[in-house]
Amino acid sequence: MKITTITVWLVPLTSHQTYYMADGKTCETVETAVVRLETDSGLAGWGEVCPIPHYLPAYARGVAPALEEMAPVLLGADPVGPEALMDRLDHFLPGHDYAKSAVDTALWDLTAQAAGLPLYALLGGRRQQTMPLYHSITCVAPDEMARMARDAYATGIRQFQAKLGADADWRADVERLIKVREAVGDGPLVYGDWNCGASRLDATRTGRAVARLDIMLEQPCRTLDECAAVRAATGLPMKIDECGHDTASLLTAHELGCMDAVAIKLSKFGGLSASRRARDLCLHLGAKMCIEDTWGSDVTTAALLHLGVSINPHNLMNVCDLSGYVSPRLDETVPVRKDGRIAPPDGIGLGVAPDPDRLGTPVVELS
Amino acid sequence: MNELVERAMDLCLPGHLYAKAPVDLACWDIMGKASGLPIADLLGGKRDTGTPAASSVSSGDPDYMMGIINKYREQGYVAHSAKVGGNIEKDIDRIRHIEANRKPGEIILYDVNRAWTRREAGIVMNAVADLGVTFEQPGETLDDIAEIRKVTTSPISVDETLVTLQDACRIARDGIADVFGIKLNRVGGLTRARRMRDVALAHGIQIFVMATGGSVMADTEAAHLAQSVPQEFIQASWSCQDMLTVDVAPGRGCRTENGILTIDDTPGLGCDPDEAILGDPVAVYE
Repeated sequence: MKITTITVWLVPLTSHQTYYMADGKTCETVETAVVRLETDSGLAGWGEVCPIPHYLPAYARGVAPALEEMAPVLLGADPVGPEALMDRLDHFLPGHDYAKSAVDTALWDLTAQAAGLPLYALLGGRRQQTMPLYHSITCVAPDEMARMARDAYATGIRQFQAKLGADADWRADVERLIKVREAVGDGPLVYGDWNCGASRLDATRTGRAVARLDIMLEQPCRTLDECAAVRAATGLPMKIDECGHDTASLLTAHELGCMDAVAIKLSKFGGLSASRRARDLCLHLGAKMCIEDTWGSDVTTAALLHLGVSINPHNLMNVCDLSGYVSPRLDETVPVRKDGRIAPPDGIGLGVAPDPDRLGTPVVELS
Repeated sequence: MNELVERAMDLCLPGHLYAKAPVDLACWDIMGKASGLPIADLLGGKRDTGTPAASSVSSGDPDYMMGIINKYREQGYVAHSAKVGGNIEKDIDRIRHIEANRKPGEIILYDVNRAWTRREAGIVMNAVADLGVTFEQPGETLDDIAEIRKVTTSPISVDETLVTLQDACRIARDGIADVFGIKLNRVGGLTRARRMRDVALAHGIQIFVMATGGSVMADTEAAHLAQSVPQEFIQASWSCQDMLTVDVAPGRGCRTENGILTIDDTPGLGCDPDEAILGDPVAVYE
């Protein structure tokens, strides 16, 4: 099988609820890059990457130029067995993991289709029928966040991520955590996420003010050293996100003792191949995994669901139904949340076929 | 204003240091022109002595490599970056041969460009330990180099895996290397490179300044940073201009003379390119 055509679309995704994070990071309408790899066998594989603006070293309009750069390696290559081809891409153009993640997903889709198996079977097999979801609560007024938490609770959600720091007021963050914690009662998982936006001092003050409660902190500061210091000073468990993006950073976070949980975002690591390696390492390190991506619609959601369902339920903390936060949907057959849980797509491969009408006109077609 | 621009760019788009570096350089150029000072003075003070220019010697048979070194010697070069990292037995031969022909005062760095595994690095570096030569980037990651460090005694320079100030702090604190190879485009320009320079000086670490490639403008930028470093801390500055067929700023910027790069007191970078030679811009934003 050979790759014959690479097509890229940019599709604007609008959040149902504008999403505010620390340091002015906001998701209202953002572009997602959808990639299709066509082959001489007639099979086509799909990938998607949707970088949140100002969040990671990634931007949606960087995907097509990166693919144009990599096209000489991709076109004519055999897509079956993704890691061999991804290795060649890494030598051809180091870095640019986010752009590669869409390619990697499409390669896994093609490989699984060639094998006639659902993608999760190639990733190790299905470990459970459905997976727990978390619900992310935008950083707004504390009472409003508590209301959103109650609404999500009523739909069956039992894991809650409260965004913090958007108003740079640590006492408001304390109130957010207390009110969300109270709103959902004892038992459910509640964690507060600064997305690197807090100083070590303010994160410590916030954490100590809620230390009597069952709360986890997520990525308060920009470096692992700072996150470890906050964990040590507050005694609260810590989830790592932005600072955990490859094998070396996961090992460092583990050594620093600040990785009780970790977000494995497909595009942050560079796709399913790299995320699968991170999964295996985290199984060994004992870090609970949140399998997700930065943002996106049905293609990236399908990919993360396949990876998530291949993980032992004991080690999987949650997954994210990204396509439930935005419109339009690209493929409405991809499962959605039900009673706070979600299943992977049915069918062979990734099990996703975006609706051509919703994709619009491609920005790039390489053949 | 450089650091305000840096912060604004980082908030807008994390990473992409190579694209930010030329913006950073342009800001330093403007600041120098506005203040009437060369960038090296704004970086802390231009030293009187020039900086040795380093050649780049591609890997091959020992005699082939010596042939390249001899050509650069004729131009006055005293610093050379010799590429190794192929077959380890041949690497040992190359290093022994080049060192046997090294002249007093010559600086030769053996650049592995990440090619060795930990095992290979240990074998080669221990086999030539008696020579006291310096190896650049003998492993893939900082973790690899930290382990190589434990089983070898030769001085080490870190190049590809010195990207952030955190990397610099880790290398300095954990004693992973003796030399920082600072490539301006990789670290995001002079604003960030200056911080790494200060970490190096505070820890007795020497500096090798390099452009990642580019015209005389890139060489001149590197030379400004190099000339802000006390002489005893600077190893050399890699110069790309002698490998190129195009000169975008004729008569301006730093030039290699007798193997030494110097900058003059022209305010700013002192290397305005000739726009006719640059040709048509691919983009203009207003």
